[in-house]
Amino acid sequence: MLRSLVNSCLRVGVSSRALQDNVVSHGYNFFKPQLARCFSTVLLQNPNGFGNEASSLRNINMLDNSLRLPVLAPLLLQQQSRTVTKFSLGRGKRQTVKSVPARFYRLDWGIWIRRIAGAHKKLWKKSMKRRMRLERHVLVNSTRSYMFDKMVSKYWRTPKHWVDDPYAPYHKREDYFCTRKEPRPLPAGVTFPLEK
Amino acid sequence: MASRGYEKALTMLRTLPRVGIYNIAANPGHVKKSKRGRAQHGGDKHGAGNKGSLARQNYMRMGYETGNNPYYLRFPAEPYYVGHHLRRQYPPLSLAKLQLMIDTDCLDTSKPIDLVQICNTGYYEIKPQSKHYGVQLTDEGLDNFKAKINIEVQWTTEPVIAAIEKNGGTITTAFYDPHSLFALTNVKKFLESGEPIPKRMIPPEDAIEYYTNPKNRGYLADPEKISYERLVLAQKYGYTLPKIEEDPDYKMLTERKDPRQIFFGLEPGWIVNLVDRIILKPTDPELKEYYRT
Repeated sequence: MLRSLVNSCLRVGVSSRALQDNVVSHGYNFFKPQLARCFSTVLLQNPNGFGNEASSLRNINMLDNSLRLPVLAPLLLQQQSRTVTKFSLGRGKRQTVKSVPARFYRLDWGIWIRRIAGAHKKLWKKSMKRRMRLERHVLVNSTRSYMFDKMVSKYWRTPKHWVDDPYAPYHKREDYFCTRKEPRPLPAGVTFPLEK
Repeated sequence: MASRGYEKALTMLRTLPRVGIYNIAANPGHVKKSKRGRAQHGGDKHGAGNKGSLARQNYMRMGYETGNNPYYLRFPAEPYYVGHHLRRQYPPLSLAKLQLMIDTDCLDTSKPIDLVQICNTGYYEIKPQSKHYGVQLTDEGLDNFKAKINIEVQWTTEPVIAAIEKNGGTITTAFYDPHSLFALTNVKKFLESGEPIPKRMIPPEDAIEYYTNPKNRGYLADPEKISYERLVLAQKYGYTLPKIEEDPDYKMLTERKDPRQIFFGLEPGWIVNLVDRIILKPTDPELKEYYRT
């Protein structure tokens, strides 16, 4: 990391002498702010200044002793990404957007549920009735559910057979004829007359 | 007899190599372009439409709303899936389905029913690699359940236990570790691998309580307490408990596995040779000590 920084310094034209001058004149404590400033100013002072081989090596050692990562962090840290990864670097597999299972829950019939926005915020000024409404979990609409299915991997789409699941009554929609998946069970005591 | 044309063709065909995707050539005149031409070299829209992100094929990423606070980040986090990678799953099997399996002779009630028998019906599947830990017997169709069975499941509830014991049957809840589950769910594959039958491990910390509880008919519970709980449950649900001691199938109904045993009739450490139809048993005292219960 540090080596790459030094290389980039050289590329923009920081001469070794300029760095050394700073160290000598301001001492250890003042080195960091000075170096940070140098990135913009030294270029103007030494447009063609490239350090020779020996002195640049000396610079690497010097930087190792004095510089710390926080100074470099804004330069080197990559911007975080929350997008869907279609092909991972390792195995080329589709990745899950972790924010989706962190906020939503998938019922087995395909719909996702969520909390209401602001469910934990400023409860002191909300009425009792409103607070009770905020406790509820609501359905995500069909378009969004379809989108979430595509944002997560197959693992999250397969039903989970956990015991004592509080959402167990909501995983099936056997109440209506148009949503029923399995045939209606026979009433108690009624059997098929096949045995006779 | 003069050979006919079709006979010659058939004899030729017999000597020719088998036709497959690896040795068939393209039709004469068929030319497959190796490149997607641009402009005068056959270039057109290539099915991608005219202008816009569709033509340039730079679609917006999933969930992005062009600068809006995206919907998938708009709501508070909720611990719906906390610990999902550790939670044990028990795929359900309803009493109605069990009764159907018995009625259609998929299950033999004259022998104890365990995970091996249930998986061998082909109507029930568990995947140990997906953290499935066995059968969860559910209460759907419990009013119509009529069979007298000795069943071993991995998870169940009180009404199911009552429904089975009311008919003079017995039920046990038993834990199997994933290694044993791989052996139980595909017995043939396991025996053909030539590995010794593993010993069953004890349940994890959070499952010990369930499997030592006589109310759940746990396999680690005291049998005396289980017989007491059978009576308590009969009184709670208001049925007279059938006396299994006087039952002709008493031996079958009270057959249980050892807590270290996986298969009925086979002990851990044995190797079953399916080809020579023999069973190899360990003789080394160190091995015997390891597989001892």
